[in-house]
Amino acid sequence: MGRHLALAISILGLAALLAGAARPLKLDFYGHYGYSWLSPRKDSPWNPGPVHVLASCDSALLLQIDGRLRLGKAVFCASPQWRAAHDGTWKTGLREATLNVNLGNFDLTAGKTLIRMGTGYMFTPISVITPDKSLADPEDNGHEQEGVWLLKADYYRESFSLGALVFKKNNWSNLALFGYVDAGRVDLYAILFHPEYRKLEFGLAAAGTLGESVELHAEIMVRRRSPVLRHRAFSVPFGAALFPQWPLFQPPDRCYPEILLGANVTFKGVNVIAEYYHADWGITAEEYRRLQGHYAISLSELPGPLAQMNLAADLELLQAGSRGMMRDYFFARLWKALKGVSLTAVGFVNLSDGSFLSLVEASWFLSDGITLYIRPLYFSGSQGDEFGDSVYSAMLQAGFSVRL
Amino acid sequence: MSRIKKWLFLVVLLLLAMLAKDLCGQAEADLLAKIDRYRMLAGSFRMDVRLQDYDGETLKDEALFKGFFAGDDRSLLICDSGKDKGMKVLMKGDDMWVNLGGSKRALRITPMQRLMGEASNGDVAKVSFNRDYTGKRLDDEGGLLKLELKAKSTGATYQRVLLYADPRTHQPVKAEFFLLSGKHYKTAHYQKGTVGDNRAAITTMRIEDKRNPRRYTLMEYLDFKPGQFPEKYFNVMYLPQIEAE
Repeated sequence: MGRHLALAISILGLAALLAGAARPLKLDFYGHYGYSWLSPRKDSPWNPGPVHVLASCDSALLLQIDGRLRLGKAVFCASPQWRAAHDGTWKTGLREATLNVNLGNFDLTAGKTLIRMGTGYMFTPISVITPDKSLADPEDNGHEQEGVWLLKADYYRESFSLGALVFKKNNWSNLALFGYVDAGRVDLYAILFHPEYRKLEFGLAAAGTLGESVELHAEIMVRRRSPVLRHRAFSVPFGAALFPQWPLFQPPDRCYPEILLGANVTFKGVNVIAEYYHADWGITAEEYRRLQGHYAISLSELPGPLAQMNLAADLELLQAGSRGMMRDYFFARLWKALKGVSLTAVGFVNLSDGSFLSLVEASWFLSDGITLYIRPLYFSGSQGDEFGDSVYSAMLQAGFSVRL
Repeated sequence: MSRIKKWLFLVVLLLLAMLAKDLCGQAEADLLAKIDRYRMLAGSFRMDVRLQDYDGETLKDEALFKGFFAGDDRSLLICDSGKDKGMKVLMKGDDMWVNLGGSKRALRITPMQRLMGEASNGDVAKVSFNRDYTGKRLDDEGGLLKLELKAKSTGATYQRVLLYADPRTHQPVKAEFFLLSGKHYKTAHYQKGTVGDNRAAITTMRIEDKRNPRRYTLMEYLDFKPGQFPEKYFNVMYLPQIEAE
C-alpha cells in the first residue's frame, strides 16, 4: 500500500509540475477524529474472554487529501490517507486513485475507486462491487471504505447509460455489464455479473416516486452461490472433540435471491427511510445455534492449528453477510434538521429473532466544513439472538470532521 | 324533420360551447406564457442560486448553488458552500435526484424534500406555470390579476396554485401553493430585477412557510450566463462525476 501511496503522490506532484500554475489543480483536505466508549458483553458467546480481552475504548484519527487535476479531457484524482490507531501506530492507505478520460458521451475510468449502484440506502443487492456500509457509521464519516481496482467504460445519453467494468477481487476476472434507463417516473437498472470462480448472476432494480412525498425502491439480485459456508446438520458420533474437524461445507450452486423493498417518505420535515432485506443465502436460527456451538469448541481447542483454522472460518462466516448473517432484516432511519443540528435515529432489526440495533446521532455544523457528532448505539436482544449475543452491548461514539 | 333540427341545434350548441371553452383556455394559457417570460425559463444558461434561511430577522443558514439550466424543464444545481457543499440536485420535469457530497451515487427524491429552510427542491426547479398547470382566471383581487392553476400531472410539487400578477405588465407578484390535501403550504413573493442584456426578470423569491410566518427563505438568482452543457449532465448515473468548475 505504501508503494501505491508513493506512486499516487509522485504522479500527482509530477502532473502538477507539468501542468504549471495556470492549470487547475484542486486540493481538498478531510480530517476525522473519532473516540468510542465500548461496553463489552461479558456473557457473549462471541467474546473470546481470556484469549483476547476486549477493549473498552477505541479512537482513530484520519487525515486525507483529495487531489484533482484536469489535463484537457483527462482528470486524475487521488485520495491518499494517513490513519492513526488507538495504540499510536500510523498506517498509510490509498482510498482512491483514478484516471478518467472524457470522450463526449463516452467515459473511460482506470484505477482504484468506490462505486455504488442501485437504489437502496442501507442495502444495495445489485451493487456487486461496493464495500458494505458499516452499521455503526452508515455515512462512513471515518472513510473506512476503500475503492476497488477496476477498468470501466461508460456510454451516457440523457435518458439512459450503459457500462462495462472489469474489477479485481482476488483476481481480475470479475466482469459486470450494467444499464440504466430513465423511464419517466421510474428509474430502471439492470446488471449482469460474472464473478470470479462463479456462474453468471443478474439483478434488476427500480425506483420511482408516488405523489409529492413518497419514493419507493426495489432490487433483486440472483446469486448463484452462497457466500456463507454451512455447518453440517448431522450429529457428531465421536463426541464434540472431533466436531471442529469437518464442520463447514460450501452449499451447492443454486439461485440465492437477495431482495430489497424500500420507501423514502418526507412528512412534516421528517425524512423516513424504511427498507426490508432478504438474503436467501443467510443462515437459519438453527444454523446460528450450531455456529455458536462450533465457535465455543474452536475457542476451547486453542491453540491447536486446526481449531485456529476453524475459528478463522467462523469469524469469516460472521462477517460474510452484508450487515448480518441471517435471512431477513428491517432497517429504518428517521432524519430531521433543526436549527444548526441534524438528528438521526436508526433501527436495524433481525426479523428472525427480533433482536435489534438502535442508534441515535446528533450532528452540529459548527462552521463551513466542520461537523461535530455524538452517536450512542445499543444492541438489544435475548441470549441466543443475533444482536443479543453481540460482543458489545453498547457504544458511545463522538468525534468531529473537518473538510477544507 | 323538426326532430333532426333540434338535434342539429344541440350539436352546434355543444360545439360552440367547446370552442368557447377552448378559446378561454387558450387566453389563460397565453396569459401564463406572458407571466412565465419573467421567470427565465427559455434556453440553456448558467446561473447561481443563493438561498438564505431566516427566522425573523436572524439569518439561520445560507448556501450558494451553481445552476445549469437546459431546455424548458431540466436543471442541475451544485451546492458550492455551507454544510451541504458538494451536494448535487438534478431535476427533469417533476422528477428529481440528489447526490450528496462525497457520495458515489445519486438517489431519486421527492419534490417535497427540503433543499434548505423553506425552499423545497421543487421551488428551485424550473417550474413553468404554462407547461405544468392549466389556468382559470378568477376575479381580480387588490388590483392584481388572479389565476387559479391546477397541475397537469399528479407528480407536480404543488397541485393547486393561486397566482397573482400585474394586470398591465403580467409580472408575477405572488403565488400561494397548495398540497394535494388542499392545505395552503407556502406563499412565494416575486421581486423583479434584470438579467443578461437588461432583460426584466424575477431575480428574487421570498418563500414563506404558511404555518410559521416568521420563517422564510430568500432565493436569489445571480450571475446569469447563456451556455450549452453535455446531455450526460442530466443523466443521474453521471451525477457523482460532475464537478462545478
